[in-house]
Amino acid sequence: MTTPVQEREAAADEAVAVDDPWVTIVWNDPVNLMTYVTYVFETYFGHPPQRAHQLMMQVHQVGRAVVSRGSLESMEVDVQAMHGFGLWATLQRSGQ
Amino acid sequence: MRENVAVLVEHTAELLELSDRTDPAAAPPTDEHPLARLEQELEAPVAVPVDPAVGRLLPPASMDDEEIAVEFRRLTQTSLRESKTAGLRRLRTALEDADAQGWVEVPSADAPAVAAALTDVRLVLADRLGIRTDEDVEHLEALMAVGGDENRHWLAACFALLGWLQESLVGLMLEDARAAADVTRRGGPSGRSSDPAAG
Repeated sequence: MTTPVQEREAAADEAVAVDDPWVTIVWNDPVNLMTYVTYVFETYFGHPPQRAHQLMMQVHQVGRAVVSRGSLESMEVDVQAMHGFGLWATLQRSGQ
Repeated sequence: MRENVAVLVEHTAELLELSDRTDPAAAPPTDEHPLARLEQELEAPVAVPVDPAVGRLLPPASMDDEEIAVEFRRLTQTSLRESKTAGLRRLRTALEDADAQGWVEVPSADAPAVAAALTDVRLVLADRLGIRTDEDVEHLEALMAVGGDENRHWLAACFALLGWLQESLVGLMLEDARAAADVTRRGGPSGRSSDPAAG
């Protein structure tokens, strides 16, 4: 059941690669609580509860999730914010 | 127990402060002119934390691009360290001020910083306890039995207690955030009430 979703997201990655050359990735860790990760995704990124929960579950089950896309500078802002929350985040070129 | 946990929180803040060193491998500023020296110091690379626990609190921003990771550290590490240290001190105060029944009160304005500080202390404890996977946390009791010394038991108990505190605090924060978002969507006082589509 997870495969079609991942394929759709991979296709979406390619489609936006030209406009949004960088992505922020949040990685799973054994310490952060599911409630807390959901809270961060809802309040920092402004996702509705259902989308925040979906992203949190992707981090938990797949091990990582793309949480934002944009310029290098805006991804640096997001990564710094995630580190401030205590989440493990990195940035990389879109489509890598 | 509460006082000891407050000491643990203080130790985490001190760990972060002790890591506040510029890279010793970098050449010291050589210019005679004070302004030029200042410029050299500001541009000097910031050291990657040696302690793996501090390394997890201030992780690299890139897995594969060293240049980006170094630049990110130079631009953000000092301010991240300062905000984390301030959050840890707020958590410490909240723990020390807990009432006789053990209720910990956190002002709403301090809640995000305190919640982040709870994560930071638990990240350090997880490193010291050798917690590497989700399964390690699920089997925390079994993990406590490994080695079996008193100190390890105490750290594991703190990890569990601080996790419970964080769950309780973040649950309330999430309720507040969702209530505020509902008000915004309905075009309430703090919302974008000028939006004709709202409500």
